[in-house]
Amino acid sequence: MKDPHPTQRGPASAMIAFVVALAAVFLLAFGPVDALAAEPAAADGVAAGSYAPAPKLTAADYPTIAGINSRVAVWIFAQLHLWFAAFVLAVPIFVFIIEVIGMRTRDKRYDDMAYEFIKVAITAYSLTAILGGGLLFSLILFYPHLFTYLSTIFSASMFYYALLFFAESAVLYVYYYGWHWLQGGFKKWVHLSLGLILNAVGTTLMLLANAWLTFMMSPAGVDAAGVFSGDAWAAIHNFLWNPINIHRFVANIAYGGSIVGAYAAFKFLTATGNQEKAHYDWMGYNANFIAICALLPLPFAGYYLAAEIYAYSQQMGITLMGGIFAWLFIIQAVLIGTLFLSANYYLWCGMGRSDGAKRYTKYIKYIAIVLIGAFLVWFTPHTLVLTNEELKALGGPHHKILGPLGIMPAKNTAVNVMIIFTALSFMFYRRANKVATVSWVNAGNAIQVALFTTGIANIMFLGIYHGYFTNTVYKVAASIPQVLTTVAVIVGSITLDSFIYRGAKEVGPLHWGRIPGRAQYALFLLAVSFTWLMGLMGYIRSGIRQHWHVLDIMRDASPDAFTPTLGYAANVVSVAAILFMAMVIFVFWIAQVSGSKTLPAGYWKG
Amino acid sequence: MSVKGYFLPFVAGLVVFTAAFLLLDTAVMNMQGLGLIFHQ
Amino acid sequence: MRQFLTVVAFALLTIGFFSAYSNYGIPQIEPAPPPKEEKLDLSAMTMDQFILLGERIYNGKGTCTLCHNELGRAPLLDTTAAAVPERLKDPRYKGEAEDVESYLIESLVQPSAFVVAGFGKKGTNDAESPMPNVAAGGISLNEAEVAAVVAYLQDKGGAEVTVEIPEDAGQGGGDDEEEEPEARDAIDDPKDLLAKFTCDACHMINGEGGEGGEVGPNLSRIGAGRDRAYLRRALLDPNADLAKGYEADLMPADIGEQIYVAELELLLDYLAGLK
Repeated sequence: MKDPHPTQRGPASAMIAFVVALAAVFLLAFGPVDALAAEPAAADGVAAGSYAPAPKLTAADYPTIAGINSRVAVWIFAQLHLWFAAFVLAVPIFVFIIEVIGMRTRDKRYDDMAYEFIKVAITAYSLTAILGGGLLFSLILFYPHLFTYLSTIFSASMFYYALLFFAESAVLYVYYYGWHWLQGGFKKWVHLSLGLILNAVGTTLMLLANAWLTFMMSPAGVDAAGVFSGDAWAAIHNFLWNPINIHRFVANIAYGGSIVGAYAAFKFLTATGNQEKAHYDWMGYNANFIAICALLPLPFAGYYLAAEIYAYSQQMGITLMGGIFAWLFIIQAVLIGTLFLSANYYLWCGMGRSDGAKRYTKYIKYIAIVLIGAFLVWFTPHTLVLTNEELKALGGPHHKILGPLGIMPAKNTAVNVMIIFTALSFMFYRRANKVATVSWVNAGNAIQVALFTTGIANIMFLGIYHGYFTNTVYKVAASIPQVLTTVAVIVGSITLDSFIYRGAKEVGPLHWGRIPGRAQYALFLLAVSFTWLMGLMGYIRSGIRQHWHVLDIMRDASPDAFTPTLGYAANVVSVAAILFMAMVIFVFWIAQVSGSKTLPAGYWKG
Repeated sequence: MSVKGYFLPFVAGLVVFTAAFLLLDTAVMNMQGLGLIFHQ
Repeated sequence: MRQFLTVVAFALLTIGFFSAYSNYGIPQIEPAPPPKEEKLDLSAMTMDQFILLGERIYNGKGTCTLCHNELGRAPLLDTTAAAVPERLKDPRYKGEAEDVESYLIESLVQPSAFVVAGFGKKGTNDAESPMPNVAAGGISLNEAEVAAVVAYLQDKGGAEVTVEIPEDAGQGGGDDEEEEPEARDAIDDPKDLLAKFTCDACHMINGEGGEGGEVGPNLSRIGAGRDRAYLRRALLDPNADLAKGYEADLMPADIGEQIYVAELELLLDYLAGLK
C-alpha cells in the first residue's frame, strides 16, 4: 500500500519517534550507570565497607581439567569473543551511517548495501554470544576465585550486562527482519531509530565489559589489600577505562570495515556477470573507505592508551614498551605497515575505475616510496637484544646508524607521514574522476601543495629537532603538535578540495567492476592482518599485567602465571586467528545459503 | 603553470602555513609547560 | 570452489608469515618467571655478601635498572650516595632524613621527598616522582631487601656502608604467597582448624579455651552478632575491627598466609553458625 504523501506526515511523527529513541538511548546508556553510582555496598543488607580483601591464592586454588591448558582456553575464548564482538559492534555503526546516506540521497543502492552488511553480521551475533558464554564458563571453571572477586565488585554491572542482551536481541531482530517492512516515510524513521538504539545498547555492553578488564589493569574503588569500597562507579571508570573505550570504539569500526571488505572481495572474485561484479566492487570500495577512515585516527588512540598506561604505572608502561614486550611492537609495526600498504594499494588499483585517473598515476610511485620508507623507519628497532659477541661486534646495544631511527620520535614522524600520504592517496582517488571548473584551480592546487609541504616539514622538524636535540620530556611533548599537524593537513586539504571541486565536471561514470583481481587480495590481506594484529594487541594488553590477576592487588598464583615467549604467544594468536577465519567463513556462507533453494523433483507429495 | 596563478599562491601558502604551524607548535608546547626551543 | 581455496591458502600463508616472523625473525627472549621470595639466611652473611645481595635485588626483583639506566628515564645512581649531603641541604628537599642511610631508605619508599631536576612527572615541575614505593605494590621489597639495596648504593657511591644486616628476613608487604607453606593436606574439620591455629589460647568457645585469660572475645555466640564478612576480616586483618575492650596487635596477623581458601570458608561457616 503506497503512501501518496510520504513526506507530509513524516516529519512531525518522525521527530517524536526520534526523540523517544534518543531518550531510550540515554536511559540505556546512562541509567544503569546512575543506578550503580547511587548503589550502596552489596549483599545481605550489610553496611558499606564490609568487603573482604583480595584472596591470596596458591597453585592448589586453580582447578584443572585433564588435557586442557586453562590459560590458553581462556585466552582463545576471550580472543575469539573479542573478534566477533568487534565485528558486531562495528557493523551497526556504519550500517546506520549508510542508511542515513540512503535516506538523504534517496538512492536505494545504499539501503540495499546496508541491508546486505547487516545480513552478513546476523549470524555473527549468536557466535559472539556463544563465545562469550565459553569465556564465562572457562573463567568460572579455571579461575573461580578471581571470578568471585570480580563479580563481587561488579555484581550490578554484570547483571545489567546480562539484561541488556534482551534489548540487544529484540532490537536487532526487529531491525533486521523488519528491514523491508519498515520502509518509507515514518516507518523508515522508526527503522533508523532502531539502528540508533542498537548502537547505543551495543556500545553500552562494550563499555561495561571494558570496565571489568581495565579494572584488572588499573584497579580503582579498592584499597591496597583489594577491599572494595562499595563504589561500583569508581571501579568502573578506573584510569584506563576511557582510553580503552576510545581505542576499541575506533578500532572496531576499522576492523568491521575490513571484514566486510573481505566478504565483498570474495563475492567479487566469484561473481558471475558484470552487474554482480560492479555491485561487489562498489561494496568493497565502501568497506575499504570505512576501514581507512577509522584507521587514520587509530594510531593516535593507541598512543593515547599507551601514554595513559605509562601515566598510571611507569613500571607497566616500561614493561610494555621498553621491556620484554618491546619486541612485540616491532611485530606490530610490520602489521600496521602491511595494513597501510594494502589499504593504499587497493585505492591505487581502484583508481582505474575512472578514465581520468591517468593524470595522477605518475604520482603513485612516489607515495609508495614514501610509505615504504616510513614503514622501514617504523620497523627499525632501537635497542637490540644481542649476545656478548654480537655486542662486541656492533660496539653496543644499538646500531650506530640505524639505531637512532628506532626511537619513538622517529616512529611518530613515520606514522604521521604514513597517515598523511594515505590521505593523499585518497584525495587522488577522489580527484581522479573530476575536472575542476572553478577559475582559481591553479591557485587552489598551489595552496594544497603548500599545505602538504609545510605540514610534512613541521612534522619532520618536531620529530628531528625535539627527537634528537632535546630531552625526554620534550620528545614526548612534541608528539602532540605532530598529531595536530596531521589532523590539520587532512582536514584542511579535504575542505579546500571540496571548494576547488565545487560544481566540478565528472570525467565519466565510474566503471564499477573495472579493477584487477589482485586488488581483492589487498582486501583479504587487510582483513587477515587486522585480525592477527588485534590478537597480538589483545595478548599485550592482558600480558602486561604479568603475574597479577588484578595489578598489585591480586597475585596470579596459577602454574600458568609466567609470561610466555613471543613465539609462543604468536602461535596461540595464529591458532585463534585460523579458528576465527573458519567461523567467519561459516558466517558468510550462512548469509548466502538462506537465499538458496533446492527444488527436489518428486520428493514432495502432490 | 603561470607564475601568478601558481607560484604566488604557493609561496603565500608556504609563508602563511609555516607561521600557522609554528604558532600551533608553540601553543601546544606551552600548554604542556614547555617552550618550542629547548633551553638547558 | 577453487577461488575459495585460493583465498583460504592466501589467508593461511599470511598468518603463517606473521607467526614465522614472530618465531624466527625476532629474538626469543625467555621472560623472567614470576618472582619467588629468596630464602635469606642473613645470620651467616658478611657485609660483602649483603652488598652483593643488594646488587642482585637492584638488578632483579627491585626492577631498578628498568628506569635507572643510560636511556635517561631516571637518574643514574653511581654517585648518589656521595651526593646526599648536598641534597639534604637543598631547599627542594621535602623529607625527614638526616644522614645518607636514612635518605637512601626514604628515597626508596617516598621517592617524591626529593626529585632530581628534570626527572619529575610531567607537569609537576619536579615536585612529584614517577617512581613507585618499592616496599609496596608490584615490587614489594621487604625491610631486609631495602637494607641490602641501600648497602649496595652506599658502596657503589663510595660512601661508608652504615647499614646493619637485619636479623631476620622480615615479612614483605603483600608478597607472602611466594613463601609457599610446606604443602600440608587441607584440614576439613573446623575444630581441627581451631586447634591448628591455637585459637583456644585466647578465645573461649562454648566453655572451652581462653587459657591465657580473656585475651580475645568469647566466640560462643559470634555468629549471632557478626556477619560473615566481619568474621572474614577478623581472621585476615585482625586490627581492622577491634572489639570493644580488647587490644590491638595481639591476634596473629598472618593466618591468611597459612590457611587455605577452602579451610577459611569452612571456618567461617563454623563461626557463623555459632549462635
